[in-house]
Amino acid sequence: MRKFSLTLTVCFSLVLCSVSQAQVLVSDLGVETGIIGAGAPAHTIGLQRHQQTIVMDTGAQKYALRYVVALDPKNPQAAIPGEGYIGMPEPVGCNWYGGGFFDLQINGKSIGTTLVHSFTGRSSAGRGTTDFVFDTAQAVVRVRFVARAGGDCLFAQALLEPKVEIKSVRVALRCYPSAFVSNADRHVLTSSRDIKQGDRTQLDVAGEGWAFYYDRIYDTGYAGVNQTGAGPCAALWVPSQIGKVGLNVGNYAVETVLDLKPTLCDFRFVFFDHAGRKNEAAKTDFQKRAPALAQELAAFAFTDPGVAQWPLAQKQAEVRRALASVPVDKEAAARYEHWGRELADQLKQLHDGSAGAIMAEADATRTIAQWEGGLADLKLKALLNDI
Amino acid sequence: MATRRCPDMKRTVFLFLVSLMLACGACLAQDMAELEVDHSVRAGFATPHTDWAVPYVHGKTRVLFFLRGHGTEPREVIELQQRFDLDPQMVFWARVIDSTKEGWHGAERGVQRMTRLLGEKWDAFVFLSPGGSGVRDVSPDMLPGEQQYQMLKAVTEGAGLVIVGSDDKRVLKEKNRFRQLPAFLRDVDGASAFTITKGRGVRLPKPPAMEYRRGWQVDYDEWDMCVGKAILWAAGKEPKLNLTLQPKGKELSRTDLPGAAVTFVWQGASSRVTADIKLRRDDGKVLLTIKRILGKSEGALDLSLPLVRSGKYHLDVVARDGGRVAGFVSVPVAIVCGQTTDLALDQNWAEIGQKLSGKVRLSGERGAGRRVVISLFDRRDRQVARQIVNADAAELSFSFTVEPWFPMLLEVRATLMDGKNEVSTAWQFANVVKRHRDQFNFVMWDAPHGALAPWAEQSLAETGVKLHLSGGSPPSYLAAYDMAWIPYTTHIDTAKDDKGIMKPMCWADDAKIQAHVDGIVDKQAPSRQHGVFVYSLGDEIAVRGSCLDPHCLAAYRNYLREQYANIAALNTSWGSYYSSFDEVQLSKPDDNDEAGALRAGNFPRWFDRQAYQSYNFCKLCERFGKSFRRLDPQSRCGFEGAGTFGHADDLDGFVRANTFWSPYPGTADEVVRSIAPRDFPRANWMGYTKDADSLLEKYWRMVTRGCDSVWWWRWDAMGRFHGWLAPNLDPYPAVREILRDTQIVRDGLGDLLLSSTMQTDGVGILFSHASAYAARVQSSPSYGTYEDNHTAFHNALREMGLNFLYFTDRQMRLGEVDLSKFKVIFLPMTQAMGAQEVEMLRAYVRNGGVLVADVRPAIYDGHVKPLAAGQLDDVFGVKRVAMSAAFAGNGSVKLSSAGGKMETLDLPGVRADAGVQATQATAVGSAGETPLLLSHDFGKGRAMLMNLTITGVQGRSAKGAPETAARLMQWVLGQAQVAAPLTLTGTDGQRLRNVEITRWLNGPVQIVSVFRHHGTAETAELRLPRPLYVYDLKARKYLGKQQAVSLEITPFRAQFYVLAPQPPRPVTLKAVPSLTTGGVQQVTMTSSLAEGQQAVKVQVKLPDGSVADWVCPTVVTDKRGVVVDVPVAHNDPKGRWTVSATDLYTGATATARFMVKSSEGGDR
Repeated sequence: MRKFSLTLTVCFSLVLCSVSQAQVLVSDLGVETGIIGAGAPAHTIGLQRHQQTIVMDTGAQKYALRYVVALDPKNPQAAIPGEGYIGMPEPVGCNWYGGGFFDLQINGKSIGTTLVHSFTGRSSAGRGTTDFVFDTAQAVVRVRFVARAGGDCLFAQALLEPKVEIKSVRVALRCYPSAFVSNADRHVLTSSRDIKQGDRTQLDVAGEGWAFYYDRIYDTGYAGVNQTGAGPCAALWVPSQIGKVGLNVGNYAVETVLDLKPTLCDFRFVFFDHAGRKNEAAKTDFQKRAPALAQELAAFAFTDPGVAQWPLAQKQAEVRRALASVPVDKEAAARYEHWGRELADQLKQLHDGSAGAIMAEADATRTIAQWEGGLADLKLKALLNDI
Repeated sequence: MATRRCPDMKRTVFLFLVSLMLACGACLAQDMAELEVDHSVRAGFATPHTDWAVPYVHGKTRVLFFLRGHGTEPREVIELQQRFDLDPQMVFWARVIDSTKEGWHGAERGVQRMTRLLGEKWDAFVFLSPGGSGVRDVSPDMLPGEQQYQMLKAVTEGAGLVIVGSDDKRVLKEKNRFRQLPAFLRDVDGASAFTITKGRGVRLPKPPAMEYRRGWQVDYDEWDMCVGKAILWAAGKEPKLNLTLQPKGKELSRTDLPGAAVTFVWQGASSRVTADIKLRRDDGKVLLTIKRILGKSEGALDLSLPLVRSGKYHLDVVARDGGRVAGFVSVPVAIVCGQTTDLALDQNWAEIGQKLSGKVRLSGERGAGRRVVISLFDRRDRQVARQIVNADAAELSFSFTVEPWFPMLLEVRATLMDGKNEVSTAWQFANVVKRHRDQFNFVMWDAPHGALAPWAEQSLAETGVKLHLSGGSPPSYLAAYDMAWIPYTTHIDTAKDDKGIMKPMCWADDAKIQAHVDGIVDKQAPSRQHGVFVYSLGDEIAVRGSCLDPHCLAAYRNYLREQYANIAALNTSWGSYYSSFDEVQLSKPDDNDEAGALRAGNFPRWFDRQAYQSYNFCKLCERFGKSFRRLDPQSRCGFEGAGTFGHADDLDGFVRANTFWSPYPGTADEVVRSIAPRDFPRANWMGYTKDADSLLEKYWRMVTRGCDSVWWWRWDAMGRFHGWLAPNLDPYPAVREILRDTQIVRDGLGDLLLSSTMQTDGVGILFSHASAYAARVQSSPSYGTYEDNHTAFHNALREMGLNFLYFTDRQMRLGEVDLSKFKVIFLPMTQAMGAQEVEMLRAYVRNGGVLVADVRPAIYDGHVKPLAAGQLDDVFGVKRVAMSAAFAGNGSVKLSSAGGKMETLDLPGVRADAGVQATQATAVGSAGETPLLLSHDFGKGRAMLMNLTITGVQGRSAKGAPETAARLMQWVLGQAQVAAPLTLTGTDGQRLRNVEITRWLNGPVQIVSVFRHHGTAETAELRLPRPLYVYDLKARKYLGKQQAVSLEITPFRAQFYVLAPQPPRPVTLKAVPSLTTGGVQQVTMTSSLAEGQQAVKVQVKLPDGSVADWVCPTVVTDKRGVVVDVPVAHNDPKGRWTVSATDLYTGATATARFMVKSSEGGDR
């Protein structure tokens, strides 16, 4: 009994400790390149693969987001998506397809054909943020994914700054629920019905604000000849932002096409990957949470506090203190002065919310990362000088 | 030395972390909890040590260690913690598994943990680098900038910094170095002390190399004392009591003993301080212990040493004040004498039954009454044998017969005695060659290295490890723990030079390849002298190869001559026009793989080249095998972690050309267990997940696939996989669970199954090498892969509660297989077949056998040449009208059910062969126009063409899915009168899905495993054909005489039951009532069974209740009895010894007792 009490105490302390320090670990696995070989879409074979992955580990789940395109050395500014360009290889590559699950089309043109301007990830204030920023001919677009510490889903936002009149906005989602298999029994559950494999249908936009994708054969742990079921997945959107939703439940891929209202610039989604959970358990849990999540999504603050509230003045004072111990490092002093000026402008633009805010934030994010990395080195240098 | 266990509270906290990791699959702290387990400083595994400063007068010292997380290095911290009053934590630098990348363990999560730890208050930071070279040392500059700043800031504000084996000149600045070492550190060789603003720093050299020998831990203990001193000083916690020991000279003469030899000086003692003074010999034996009250604050004392033999000693002093250590000091003492002893072995290894002999040379005075004792010691300090001779000559010979009960490592020691006093001594290690065959083994990848490797080895031995596989030569501490060896001798690959010739040489270039092979083999002499289970040619190797060297072409021509006998046959097969085999060339001179022939549709020419490449590899294996037999006549040779069913490898050839083979888990296991002799070692590697369930599934799969061992990758690992041992040398939590769940294997089940026969119910499956290739050509891939179609049959049969036995097409050609022993033979996707095999199968059916094929049997010849019609069409009663790709459609079959009623089974989306029509056969189903399930009576037997791929028939194992596939298979098996003798049903009374039943027979006793590889727990009933005595082996429970057994299916974990027609009784033991020390008690253990065998777990207890761990722990015996040797060393305790034998089946224990008396000669 004494041991039991002790265990409970330790358990409680540890959970408290975890919660108080909760943060999302964000890792950029860097750019990988290689020549695309057989088996890839024909139009990309022989071209160079450009792939970068950012992992957000919430403590409860690891989400990897991937930018993947083919590059043609003859036209280095063009991106050539193969099966897609925004993928989610983790928790599992089959659910929200790792090779490309999210395709945003503006005026009928995929933004994926424009090379990404920046693909960055960072952790701040108990959340992880991954941004894909595209500077396309139609609009500057930021696709942002946010994972919360301890969270088991991804909040996503497509934010547009139009350059031309926007007549249509469409998001096409692709998943292979639970496994890459065709001897499957795919189903999509909505709030009002269960749609079976082979069906193509339109959802009732007002009443069917989410979809739960699962496979009745390849439930979690089901071992087929070559594949084992990973578990279901789900998506949720804001009905008021949607014009129509089409669903094609194939025996391999399941496609969900959302026609968004072109008068809007801010589109929101939630993605679940229930890998490791049984259909029934995941479904029950998701159904229960969906109404509250829908409300939460509509009001969700996608702004990254780590950038927007970055304390420039405080950071400049910190740099000044460190530089005082290494007066010979004029180069560092000049560098920080330059960054300081840049950041002041970028943060102002970001706070104003004016046109160009997306790019200003992207640039500020890059500069802040360089600032923070350099500051630790500067402080260390100063400390070692004083020994 | 004291041995200490963790206090209960620490243990509870550790267990909590472990349970957190095990239980909270998706909880917030999972990754961090795993990192905490990896970095745990709480170890259940305690080792002998000196309590240099435990408990310490200045209380606990909080120390954060930065060190490599590999091998035994983390254990250094546990060892320090045992000796000093530390409150430590560790942060590991580690190599990422399967890469050359290194970083802080846990990556971002690890750095997060490091940051959290650095936020705490520490008395000192310690950077430990390994003793050897070749790996990166660990130094402060490896920390990320922010964390480095955090740590160094704490140091400049007063914490200590100790860098062992490395340096950081940015921090340990020469200008801040103490010109004279502080008094407390003056006896620490190689130390440098520094100030770091308000903090202190110490730099220590790398730890000295410590070769394994009996008593090696004394050197380690002394080194650790130096590290502990450095930490205490850096932390500002050096003792106020100053102690020094001053020997009278660098070397002390034995002639001056007994006598004053060392002066002990102290300053700063309180009146309560007592000093424990101890003299330790270099083999660990303590020869003197004195307790003194110092009495005054400072003073000096001459310490007398007793008359001891020449050699190295340490004099240690630990002073305590009110039970807490107030000071400690140690000094080495060397004793020399004029009478020296030298020992030379004629050979430092021997096989059992051979002689271990040598000579002792004496120098100096040899007086009357002097004798030489030649002893054989085990690592436990047990004198297992000895000879005593008069020291009347300068050179004396000795010889021992090597007994089977000798340990694998013997310390042969010659000691010159003067009366009862030892004068001088000399020793050498000798190996007793043991191979650990004929037992169920646990094999560990790689072996521990470094100073603490022997402790790692002890922990591995305590957890059932019996063998190591690694490169290089086996270190002596492996033999000390009776570990046999698998040398990783080479790695076969097929790299070629720019001329397309294999590097380093063509496998067919006899002279060069033989020299290469011999060179590799000769390097294995140290392994051979240790005891080799099998010689490995490597893992993940190439298992086929050929090249463009002329020797290879010549070998290829000879191979073709063997295959075709005459050139006309080859020309017919290839469509070529050679006049002799000597003219045969590759299609194109640089087309080593005959890829052009494949593209051109000349499949025989392509297949023959592929088959030759496999043959060429097998010949290389045979060459290695022959060469190893030259080195070691009992050698076995093969490879591991390579060769698969799916790659169309020549599985039959591998078994023929080698004397062991351990593939990765897969379909090949089914072929190996079927065709290899029982004593042919086979297993799989496992260890590639971290949770107990998935690991146990791999473990039990090996057992139920007839493996003779379990192979684990690797003994230490963190990150993606976990090692067998955690960094603190305790088993990882999942390993503890594995040990618990598999205890019955080590209690005798493993050995018993090796002597039992797996039941395969008269079901045969043909493995056809040519068909594995045929599955890749023309329209074959539309029917699925060769492997998938085989595994679909395996699954279907196992779902029916049945098992099967493979035989091969080569076995058929060589007349090695008697088909008549099979009630039914399955031919999964057996599209290619030679005329001889066709005729044998035809005869099999004609004589009454049942032959079952799926799609397109024998439509290619044995060289994959397409034929106009199937060679077995007459047997199946069909005719071929087309060679087409698989047709997918909805089909159905009508079968008669058990009650005689007809039932229709729907087969939606079934893939079938539309190119076949029934002639004499009767079809009981169709998919459109395509007939399915054709049955034809041929001669006295029956041939059944399923004409569909059962890979596409769903619902065999999924709960709630239709019974279609099961009904189909039941119907087919029913034609051959094959039915499962045991049935398993769920609570709904229906067949339980997704569970395997494997049966072994030993005499009249049946051993049954019930195994669900994945899924959920479920209540079930196992029905027997008649009432039998049932024992639940895992629960150690007798369930009574039953015809139906209730059980709870436990996924991932096989359950084992024994079904016996009569209740087995315990074995009987027979032992002599008494013997003297130095003798061997031979206990006869006899089975109570009239037929068959019983396995027993043997345990021998000494008079004090401790266990004699040198006695063989399991025995399989029969009614004739087996003798178990219980050797009693000359210095083993006298009194009543107890032998117990616990029967695996019943759990009943029989015991025998005997007295051990002193031998006349006394001890030592």
